Amino acid sequence: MGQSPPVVLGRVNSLCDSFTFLSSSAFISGEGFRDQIAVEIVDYTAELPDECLAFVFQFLGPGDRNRCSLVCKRWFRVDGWSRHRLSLNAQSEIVSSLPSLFTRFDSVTKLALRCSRKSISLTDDSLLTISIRCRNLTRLKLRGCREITDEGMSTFAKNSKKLRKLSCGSCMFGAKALNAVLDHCANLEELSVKRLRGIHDGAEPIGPGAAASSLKMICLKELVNGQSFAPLVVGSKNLKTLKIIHCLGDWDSVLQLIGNRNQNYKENLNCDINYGSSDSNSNPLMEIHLERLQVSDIGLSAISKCTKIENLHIVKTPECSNYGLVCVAENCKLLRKLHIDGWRTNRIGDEGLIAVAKHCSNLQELVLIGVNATHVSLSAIACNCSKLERLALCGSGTIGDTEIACIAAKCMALKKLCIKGCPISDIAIEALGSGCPNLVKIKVRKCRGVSSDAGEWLREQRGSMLINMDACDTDCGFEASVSDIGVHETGVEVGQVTAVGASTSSNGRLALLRSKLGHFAGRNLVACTLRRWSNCDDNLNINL
Amino acid sequence: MLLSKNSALESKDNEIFEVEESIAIQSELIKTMTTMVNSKAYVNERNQMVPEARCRKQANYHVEQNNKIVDEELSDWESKFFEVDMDDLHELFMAANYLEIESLLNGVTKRVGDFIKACKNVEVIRQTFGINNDFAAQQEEEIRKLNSWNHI
Repeated sequence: MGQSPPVVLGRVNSLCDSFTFLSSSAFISGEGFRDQIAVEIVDYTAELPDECLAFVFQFLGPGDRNRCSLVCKRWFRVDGWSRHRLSLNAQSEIVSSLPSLFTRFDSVTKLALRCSRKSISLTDDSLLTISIRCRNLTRLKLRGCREITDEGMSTFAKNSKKLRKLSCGSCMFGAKALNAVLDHCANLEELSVKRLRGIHDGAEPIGPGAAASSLKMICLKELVNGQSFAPLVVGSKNLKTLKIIHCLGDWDSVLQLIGNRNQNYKENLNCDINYGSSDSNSNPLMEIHLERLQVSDIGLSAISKCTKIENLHIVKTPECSNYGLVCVAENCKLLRKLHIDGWRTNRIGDEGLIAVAKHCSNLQELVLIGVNATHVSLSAIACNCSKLERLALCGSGTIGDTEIACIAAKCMALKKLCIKGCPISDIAIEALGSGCPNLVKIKVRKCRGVSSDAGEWLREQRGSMLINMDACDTDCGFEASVSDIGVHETGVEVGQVTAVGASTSSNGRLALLRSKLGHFAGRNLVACTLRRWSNCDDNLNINL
Repeated sequence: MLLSKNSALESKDNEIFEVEESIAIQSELIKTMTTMVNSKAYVNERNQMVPEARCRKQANYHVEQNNKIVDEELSDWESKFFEVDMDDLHELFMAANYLEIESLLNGVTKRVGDFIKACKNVEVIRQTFGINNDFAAQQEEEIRKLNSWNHI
């Protein structure tokens, strides 16, 4: 850390000794007393070197830092030179305050300029002033700076050679601006572009420019002309993270170009026998998020050539099916995190997930939304992905008690589980009571079949676990109908669920569900079913 | 005086106390000193080079305690350890900084930060830390105006 030793101020020391009794806050709060001894108040921070004070400020947010800057001249000074991160209301009126702001804050490296929709933002001139005053800017975030033009960004870029991260959202400049940044900021590592209004049809393509080797993360969101970014995405040869969210255009071809980059490396390899391990030439992409895009199994097949992928999100891409997922699973064996939102199109299901189970033994995190997975694939995953720590199952009509029982019995490493909007019942909770030995956190939401009793019971069973469950009694709509039916069975059949204080409505609901779920309702039957599955799974394991 | 595994540290008020060497060298300052001088000259040098006040002794004692606790209990112990009044906190801060003990310094600065966060306004901060307001009224006004440009 390199803190310099303090300069011991002898004068202050003697003050400390003489006036120690004054240092208790009780004395200082007395108004009249304070006036008398105003000169001799002990300044606790006087002995601390400036660096220490700056270190304290680092832990404070901008509001607190603003207050600190008003305490005294010394604090004002220290706060000024130690504020490296600044976020400003980027309205046009700020222009007259910019010189004072950047005289006071002369070490800013991370700057955010935010303008609300109701105001007119600062202009190119202001941005130029900022770029001249902040020579060491490494990060810039622009939000709603609608007055900044292509020229303004270009000038800024020329003055900001040290820029490593740029994030712009809801701005009006276009392709020229981005190309200027990419041409001048050769150290750019992260680029995030959201809702850029200035990119029209026929806009110039956006290429990686001087940042082709430095770019590690690209995020494109809500862009009308996604295709303009193809050269950027394909040409950034050291790209590790790619996120494309809700952008128009056909992304299969772009992904194919990325995937084929790997093959080009290989061709070059043949000429050079000094190349080391095969790892050195494979595509460095490790994380891909595809969300609400026109991408199909062709795109997924292309991604499968990026064998180092560890984190994959396939969200609301209805043209992707099991075929594409199988392709990815077979080739991307390092997969650790997988998020699939099938949007209930039922094109991704057990088949794809079984392939994941078979090939991706490093899987740590799995999120399935609107995916019709059944115990067949979940069992395979539970058995073969022995490192699975986090699992979320949401909005799926096929995730029921049998699926949860399966997970409970087999997911040994599971730490966090979330179940949302699935047709499970208290039986599933019961299974979790004794399964998943490493579970520390569970969240159950909008599962109408689960009563609050079950939550209470689970708390008693697994005291150390963090349990977050809906109070389903209030959420569920069929209270009235249940009491009309007038079923009175007490909840004994659901095993150890304590019926103390249980309302008849919740018992009635259990009974109703039991009749609805038919043969799955009985506890004994669940045990039988589990035994049956474990036999099946033995077979499954042998085949795998 | 310098035992094999233990370091003998003498404070300004002439108290000698032993700590395990591994703990003693958590202080960057002591670490540097031990590498710079040989053991014989050590004790003599130390008398002069370590002008300690009572607080230094406290710091060493607490650092020792710090190292005895296992990780799980550490955060609990730490939060209690730093729940002291401004006087003690001040002494700890000075000690941590002078002796260059990183973990102690981190804990103390966070705690001081907590003190600041708990203050509702600038005047309360001044009172808590015993600081005189040396601004002219107009200067304060200018600063407030600039502060208003901060997006919070």
